[in-house]
Amino acid sequence: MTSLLSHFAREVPGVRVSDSVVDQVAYGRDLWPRHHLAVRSGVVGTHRPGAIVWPESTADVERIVAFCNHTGTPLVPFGAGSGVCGGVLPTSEALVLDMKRMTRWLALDAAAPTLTVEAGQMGLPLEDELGRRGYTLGHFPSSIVCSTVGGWVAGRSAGQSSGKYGKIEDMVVSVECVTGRGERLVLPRRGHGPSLLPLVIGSEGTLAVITQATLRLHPRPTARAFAGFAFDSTEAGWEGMRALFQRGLRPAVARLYDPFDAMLARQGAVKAEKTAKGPGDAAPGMGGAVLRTMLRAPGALNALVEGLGSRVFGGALLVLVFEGEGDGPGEECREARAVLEAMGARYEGEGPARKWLAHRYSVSYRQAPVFRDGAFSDTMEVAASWSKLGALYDGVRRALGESVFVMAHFSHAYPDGCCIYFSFAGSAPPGTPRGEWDAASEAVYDRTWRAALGAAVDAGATLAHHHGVGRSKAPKLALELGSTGIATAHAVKRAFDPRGILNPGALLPPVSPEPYLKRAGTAPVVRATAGLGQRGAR
Amino acid sequence: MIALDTKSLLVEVSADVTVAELEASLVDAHYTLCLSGEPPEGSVGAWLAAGARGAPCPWDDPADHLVAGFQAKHRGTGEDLDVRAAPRKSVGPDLLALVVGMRERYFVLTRVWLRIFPRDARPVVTPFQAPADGPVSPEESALMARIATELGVT
Repeated sequence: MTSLLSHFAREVPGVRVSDSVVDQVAYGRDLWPRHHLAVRSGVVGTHRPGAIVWPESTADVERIVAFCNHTGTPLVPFGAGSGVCGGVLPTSEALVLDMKRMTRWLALDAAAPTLTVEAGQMGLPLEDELGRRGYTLGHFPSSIVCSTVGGWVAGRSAGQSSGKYGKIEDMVVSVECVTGRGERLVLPRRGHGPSLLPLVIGSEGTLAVITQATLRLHPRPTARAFAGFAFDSTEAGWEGMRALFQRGLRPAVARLYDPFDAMLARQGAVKAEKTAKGPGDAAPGMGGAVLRTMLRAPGALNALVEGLGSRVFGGALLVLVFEGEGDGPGEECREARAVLEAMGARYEGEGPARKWLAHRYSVSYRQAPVFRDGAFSDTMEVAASWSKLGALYDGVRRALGESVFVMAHFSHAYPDGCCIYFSFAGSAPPGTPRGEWDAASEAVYDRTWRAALGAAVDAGATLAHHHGVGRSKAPKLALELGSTGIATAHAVKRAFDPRGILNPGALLPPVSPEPYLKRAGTAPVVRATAGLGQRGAR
Repeated sequence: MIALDTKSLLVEVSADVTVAELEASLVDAHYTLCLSGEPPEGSVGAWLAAGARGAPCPWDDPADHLVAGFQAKHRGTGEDLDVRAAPRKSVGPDLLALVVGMRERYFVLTRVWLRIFPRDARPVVTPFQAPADGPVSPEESALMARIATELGVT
């Protein structure tokens, strides 16, 4: 790498670069929980990049990508590393492109309103500064303290207020990016014309490096209304959410917890601030032993929780937060209460929603303590139309429940469907020798994911709502997109990045030996049409 | 073929059904596409390929969308591209971009899942001055041509 580094420094002068071991280890992975198992077993820094570079302008990015394109050097765009699907996994030949020195605000258009900002802007300072100026982006992912604008766009991120403001793809007016060929592009969203923007949104750094984004803003809300509702069953709860969204109500936050998750939410147990008291506190103790023992019998644990159900845990819980100006949020909240109570929901006051808001960022960026205790945990976010939601919920729970303890909440609803967010925890099987815990856990982890993704596809759902694909779901992507979809995605990749230098290995399964669709001379089977309307005649 | 999924407020429709026929069927069932003005002439497929003029403005309701899923034929090979209906996705590039507004350059729609509204629906409108559609830049045009080459449809 030293020769490559000196070559880079010669060809791309003036760009900050490091190949220190500390940086290489720090940039060698994201927050994919499978990595945590490796780290716990002492396998650290196995995917160190050759070097890390820090551009400070789009011109820098152009020069860096041009260098990589010329030399065939893999380039891994990096925001803040909070991805959970293995989107970042460099090789020793790769450069990691950390965008966090590109944070400038380039234009704030108060009339629209929109903000054009560089891609390395971190989430929380962005929202704080917007708030001081009377605006909000409305994008509040639980990773907001450790994620960037570019990462949000590249991963099709969703925030906690998606009910009112949508996902990030609903906020992007345009992006500036640098393709794998090193060319700068501005891709606008067009209401009616052609737009390549949706190809770059969600491309996970495989098509282009996102350097700037113009984002839609909203007036900062000045009023909020809160409510919590209990339901006898999870299904009754999601039917309540469906009724609200199809009626035209748009709570910024609508989160439905299944009975066990609801019990944790009511107690605030998942939000408790647990800080280590000293070095010894980090070691697995009696609590860890109990946890591992329970997780080694996930089937029994799931059956027990399901049997106890609403009677013990207090039912499913829906928390709503409406926001806006003046009396609007209060009026919407009263209307929602009338709708839900007519469906049998029990009003629980403002408390559950206020408690949720107060702790909204408490759980995400810290490593789950179950890893410290010798077990593992992860989350899976899938989505489907309302008519398929029941099959999705039952199918994935059944698939997960064979190997791990599972609970769920529903935190992104739309008029036509909803996202289910499964949380699960597992451990090595009973009888596994202590020295083999991690390898056995990894086997359980992989088997669990395969089964759950298969169940989601069988239920007619999409494999990912907002975490992306990375490496964790790439092997199963063909189940959803089919061979034509995969071949099409590869064709798009070749058009943007013909040498395949951008984030190789992420998102797309390995290309087949022959490009599937690139068959020169193939006769069209669909007749060309000259324009609008000609195919309309029947 | 027109099939309603009233629970999801979606309609699955063959792309060769005219927009007028679709809207009439929906109205009979007390639903609508919520188009501005009269339904455009031509088929649903052609309407979407030309950019879906008259559909609800995508900026009005950030939590909504027009097309939930689709099936389209590759112009070169005739193979089917299936993108299943879902409210939102995060599975890589949105391949709908190769269909809507692209005037059948790469794929030709055969079936689509569209959002429908109860006839008495209350529209959700959040104020925003969306920029007017600008012309396709030479760089975008060149990239579209490269996509066509890589898809084998030049």
